[in-house]
Amino acid sequence: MLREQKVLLIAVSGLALACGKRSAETEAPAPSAEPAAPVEAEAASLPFGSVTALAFADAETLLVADSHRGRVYAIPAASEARTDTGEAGETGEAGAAGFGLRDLDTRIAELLGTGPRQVRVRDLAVHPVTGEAYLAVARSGGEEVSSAVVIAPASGELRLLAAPEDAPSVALPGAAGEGFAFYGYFPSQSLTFTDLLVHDGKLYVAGLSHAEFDSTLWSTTLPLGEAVATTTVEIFHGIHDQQETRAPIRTMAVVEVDGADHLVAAYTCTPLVAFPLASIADGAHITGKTIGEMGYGNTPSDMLVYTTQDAQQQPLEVLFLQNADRSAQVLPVEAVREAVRGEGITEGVALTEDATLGASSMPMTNVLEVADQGPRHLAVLRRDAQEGDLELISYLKGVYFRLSDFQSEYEIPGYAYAEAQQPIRQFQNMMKVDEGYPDHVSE
Amino acid sequence: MRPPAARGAALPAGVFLALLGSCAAADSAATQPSATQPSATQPSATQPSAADRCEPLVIDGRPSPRWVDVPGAHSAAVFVAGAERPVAGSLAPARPLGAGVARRFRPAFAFAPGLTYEVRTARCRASFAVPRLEAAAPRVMAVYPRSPSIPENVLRFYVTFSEPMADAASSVPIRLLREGGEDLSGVFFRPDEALWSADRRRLTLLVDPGRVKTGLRAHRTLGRAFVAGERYRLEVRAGWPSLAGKPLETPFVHRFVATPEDRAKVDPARWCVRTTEGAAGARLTVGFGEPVDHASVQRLLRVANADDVLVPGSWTLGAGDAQARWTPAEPLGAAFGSHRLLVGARFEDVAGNDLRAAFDHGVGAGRHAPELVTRSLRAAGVAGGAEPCDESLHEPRR
Repeated sequence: MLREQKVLLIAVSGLALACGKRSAETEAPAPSAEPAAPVEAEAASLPFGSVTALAFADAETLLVADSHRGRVYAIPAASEARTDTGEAGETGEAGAAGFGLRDLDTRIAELLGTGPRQVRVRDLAVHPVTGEAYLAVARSGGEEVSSAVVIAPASGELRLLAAPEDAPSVALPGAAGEGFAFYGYFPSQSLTFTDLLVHDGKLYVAGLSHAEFDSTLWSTTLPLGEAVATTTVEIFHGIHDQQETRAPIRTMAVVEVDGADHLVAAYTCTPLVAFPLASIADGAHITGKTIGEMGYGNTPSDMLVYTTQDAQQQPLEVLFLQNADRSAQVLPVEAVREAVRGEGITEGVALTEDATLGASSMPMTNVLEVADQGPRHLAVLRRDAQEGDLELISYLKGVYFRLSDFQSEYEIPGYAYAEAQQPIRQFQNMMKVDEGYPDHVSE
Repeated sequence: MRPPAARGAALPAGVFLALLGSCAAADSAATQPSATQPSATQPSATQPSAADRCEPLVIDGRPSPRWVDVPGAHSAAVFVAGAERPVAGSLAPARPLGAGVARRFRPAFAFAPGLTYEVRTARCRASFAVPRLEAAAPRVMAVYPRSPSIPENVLRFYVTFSEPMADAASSVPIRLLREGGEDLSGVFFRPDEALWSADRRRLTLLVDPGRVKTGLRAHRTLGRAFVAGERYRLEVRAGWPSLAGKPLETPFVHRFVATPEDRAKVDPARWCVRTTEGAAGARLTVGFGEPVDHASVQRLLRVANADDVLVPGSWTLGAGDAQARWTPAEPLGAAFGSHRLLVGARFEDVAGNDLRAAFDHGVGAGRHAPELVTRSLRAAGVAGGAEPCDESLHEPRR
């Protein structure tokens, strides 16, 4: 299956021969003479401390992990597509319209009343119905660093998520393994949540405690109640040739293997590790099976499992891994299943050894966050390598590059597609429309 | 916060008036201007005529203002100066200073000191500058462990500041160098978000476990971060801004030499625990025999009395973080005789070894160790430990 997918990718990458980087085009709307009405924060808004991870529990509820407060909140997120949010709402299909916002940091800074250097985006999630992007934003300015959830429709008209002060929430115990209040007193905890995962009515939260530097996995049932199970996690990291208990899970997904759900987690230096979900219980200390080493010197940022098509237009379930220091990787989920059934990696792996389960490298770099955006797209937050601007854009699943990032021979005026190139022309035209350049379509 | 109750001159404390501003005059319509404030820019295409003058704005007087009142308008929007899109916030009727109407705009996040904002109504524009905060330039207070010799498998450093700090910009503000020049800054664990304490005065730097532990291949290829006998310096570079926007003026350099690795459990039985009673009151001093984790001392060392009630007090770390002194919050009613020293099992030395296991332990080691270890304290003298009380640093154990 992997080979078939590679064939498709080679075909696609052939479309952008003679590539040269095209400068980013920023389309600034003309200033309007009438002042716009201020964007209303619809209700008394919960002041977040530091939101580092987001996930949708369902179409009505966004889960917000606030590292400073050590809590996860359930915030109402309207599922009706707003009339002013662009094509996603108009078509009624989540993620039908790709994102093409080239100046996201400027837009966020204007909304939050600060400068572009004062905003950082920590996580990204896409609403399963409206297709709007929900961004966890840290805002510094003046006397504090605070946090907001900003909603970005494809139109770029950003707004703030209103977070009611009585929103349900759970506290996640700060010190792994300390079920009792130490001496009856906890000093302020320092936690960092690295990822949220919703699966089968449960929420899984990965993170670490600064003080303990312990890798911890919390789980609780949805909707949020009080009971939180705390599990400590240990893995064998082949490249480090050692057991590791402290490095936190950076990103995770669920893969079903022979009827049993497994948590597949990626760590810094990129070991890929599987744990049976059934083993995750309060007070448990679990050891994962290391099934792959995806590359040293790298921090993985997002893992997704979804179904796309192979070269024969047949459904292909893939695991997608976005990396901070390497290009993105895609591998068939079947390869993960095979590895979970096997012995796993229990001995050291040399840096030059390939233990990537046959993953393909995809040309996605300078990427900060990736989220699943409906059946066709990945929503991607990246920085322009030259200018540093923060961009919210979409990539087509199975394609993993944007035609509009490049100038190719095909773009030269007067270029004539030969008869045999017609499939290429059609594919490029589809991409041009998808990326927001219908006027570039070749007739 | 209620709108200004008085009319005209009698403004409540903490409120300041923006200068009168029309669009044409907006560049100069700044309150409490300072030499460093950014200038407002005006897109000329959107300027109403100069005849359309805004009435004076009234602005919350707090350092980070939380509202602005716009008189004479039923609707208004607020922009960062020069911005195309408005600031998020809410608009509600406000009590005008004079006759007519007014609206109060509350931004979702307080207006930022150092920035200029622009109020636009259907009729006019005015701008106001929020003065920069009066704040001291930040200083580095300390880098922990402060010990001049640190085991080569050190797990973490803390940098403490005199002021709450902002996140550093893209350039790396902290460098770790081997004497001779090699830059080792990459050995620090890189979280999505810097590991700040809640008050943003303490930054935790974790050394990537893969560069600390004894995994052979990682060390062969990537190299262990520290090598015994080598000299290092950890530099905090100037320019790093505080939350108030003041840059760190003086760089801070912490020099240390790496000593052989420490791969032994922390053993409170080997600690040198002394009590003294004198004119200054009862004192307790603990010699750990090795540099210990600064946060562990504050979090996981406690003194309890005979009734098992915690006695409030504070710890001061000294002697290269190898010794700590406890001072009771109030003079002790009784001598130390019936008291106990409590040590949480997660108490760590600087290499991340705790009471349960060495950091670099095998699978499952120490999982069933007790969560708490106690040592009884005797009145004035050396508390009994398993070994003779030796206040010098222990030889590293493996």
